[in-house]
Amino acid sequence: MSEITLVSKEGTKIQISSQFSNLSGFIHNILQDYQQNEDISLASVSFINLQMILEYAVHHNFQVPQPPRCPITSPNIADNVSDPWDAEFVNRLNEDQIIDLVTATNFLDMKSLMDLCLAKIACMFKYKDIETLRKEYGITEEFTAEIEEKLKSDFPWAMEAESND
Amino acid sequence: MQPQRDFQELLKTQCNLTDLYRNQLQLTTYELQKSRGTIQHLRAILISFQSDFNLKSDQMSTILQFLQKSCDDDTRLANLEENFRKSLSAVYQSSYTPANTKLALLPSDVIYLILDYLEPKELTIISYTCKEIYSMCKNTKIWKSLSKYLWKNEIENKNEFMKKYAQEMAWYHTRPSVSTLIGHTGSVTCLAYNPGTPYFISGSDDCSLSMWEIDETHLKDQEIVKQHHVQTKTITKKVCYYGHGGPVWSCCIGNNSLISGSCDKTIKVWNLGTGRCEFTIRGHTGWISSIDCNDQIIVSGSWDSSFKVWDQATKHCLTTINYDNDSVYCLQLSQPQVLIGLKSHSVDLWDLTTSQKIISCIGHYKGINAVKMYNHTAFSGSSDTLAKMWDLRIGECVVNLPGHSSNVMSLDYSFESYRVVSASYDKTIRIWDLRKTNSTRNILRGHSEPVFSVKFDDHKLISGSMDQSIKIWNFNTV
Repeated sequence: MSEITLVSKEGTKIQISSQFSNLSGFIHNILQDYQQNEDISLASVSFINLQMILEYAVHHNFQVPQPPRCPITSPNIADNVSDPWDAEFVNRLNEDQIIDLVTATNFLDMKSLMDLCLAKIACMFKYKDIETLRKEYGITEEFTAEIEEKLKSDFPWAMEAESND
Repeated sequence: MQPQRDFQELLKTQCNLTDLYRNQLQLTTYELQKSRGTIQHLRAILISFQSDFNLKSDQMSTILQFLQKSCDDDTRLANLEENFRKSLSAVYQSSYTPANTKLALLPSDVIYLILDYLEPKELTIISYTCKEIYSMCKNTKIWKSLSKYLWKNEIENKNEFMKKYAQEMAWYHTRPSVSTLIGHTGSVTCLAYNPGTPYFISGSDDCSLSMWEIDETHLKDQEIVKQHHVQTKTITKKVCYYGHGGPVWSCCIGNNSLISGSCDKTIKVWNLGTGRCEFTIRGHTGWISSIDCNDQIIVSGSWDSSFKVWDQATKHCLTTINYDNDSVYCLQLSQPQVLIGLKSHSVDLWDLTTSQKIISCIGHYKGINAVKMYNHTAFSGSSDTLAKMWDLRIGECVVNLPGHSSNVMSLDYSFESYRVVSASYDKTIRIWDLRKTNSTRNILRGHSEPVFSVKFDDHKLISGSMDQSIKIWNFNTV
């Protein structure tokens, strides 16, 4: 089919097959009344993100891949997705980049890639205790011994360190 | 003081947003003193600007509290504008400092999607990291999809979910309270229990069977149960069944009757309530190792290399299926099929209407001591120390449950809870979770001799052992 032109936040233009609408609800909607050679402006997607999104789309041949396992069962994303390429793809990004990508895919209504990123973020929470999480995310809200006691008595299973079986 | 400057700038741009807003912030002290209603006004404005300021709900409440205080205090009222700016800036500082993650910038509906990927354990932990996530974790959608994943039914309420989950986790993470029942003078070889009924039957090498009544109300009383001793109050021996001339090896509860198979080569049918023997069925020429029944038929397996099908009403033999020099060790009836565990290491599925063998499951390398089936799934426990899960449609082993150090003697399985329990000659009982089959979820130690029989329901497990005792392991979380 024909090609469409996407314009990133910085104004860079990228050509892509119109099959991209399979993956993105946003593009799909736009293509409903699209005139040839019209630029599609994506005001909140940076060029870097757009490149990554296209890389993902091309790898999956513009078809929606199998979603990650839900809920995830291992802190390693590779165990939760069917395609090892997907795991490699998100593993090379750091957290901030992933969140940027989530924002971009959210804008593009691109569920498949967003799910992958969200599963990766969820993996970061897996098997971590409260102290680690609070430190990592710099949460300063008060966490008193009382609350901890209550947590321990109400949910003893949650506080036990689980072996990575 | 970077955050503060940011705040000033932000405040400025916000102020420019609308005249209304600017006017309100520039109120003179005099005006404020004149009208306390202005505070209400300020509050209303603050609420409408909440999203512009990116204020979180607890920060909002701090400011609103401050406004409330100002209402009550005249001196504060005098400096309202300045104080208001101060408190706003304080709130802003606290919201800027922890920003070493961009996660907080994601819209909440996206955060919900992340929470969807977590299991109850992580959800609980993460909900205790900050108030905002805590309130998000109350969302019903998360629990609905989780309970669908865990139990195939949908529970929307978080508290209800937690109750059920706590009960389930009790099986895997807590030490149960134990009641020990003494009464038999020989090994307890078999148990019969229908979940939901207040009694169970035990059969023993001392040639007798007993009916025990469980008083659930007492079992729920933590104080009594915690005492961990020989129970007299919670469980009572109701009926004894004497008459067999050899060790009783198997029993099952039928239509208001008890059916037992013994080493004296007979099957006896007992009146459940009175303990009287109503029928003695003869026919087998070897020890009867296993028995199962439903409303129409009784199936018995014997060491004489055969299993027989009997009519429940007339007690006549309907079918005999003979093996070639191969003892039947265990069986389970699931009309119209029967699953047979054999001495020759194989697990066979028979169709009773046609008397044809449907499939043989080969994989164990020693005799099969226990079988259990549900739909197309079967479990077997063998003397080779393994328990295996089979797919009966293809006759292949799906999952291995390794862990016991000696013969697996008994098995029980519940489809709803994904739970499998195995008892072994190594004196332990192991609890498995079919969602996480790579390790044992809990090991129960307490019997001083091999465990021969095990049954469980929602919150308790009953086991019978060679040490002549029956133990009730109570996991009730109440």
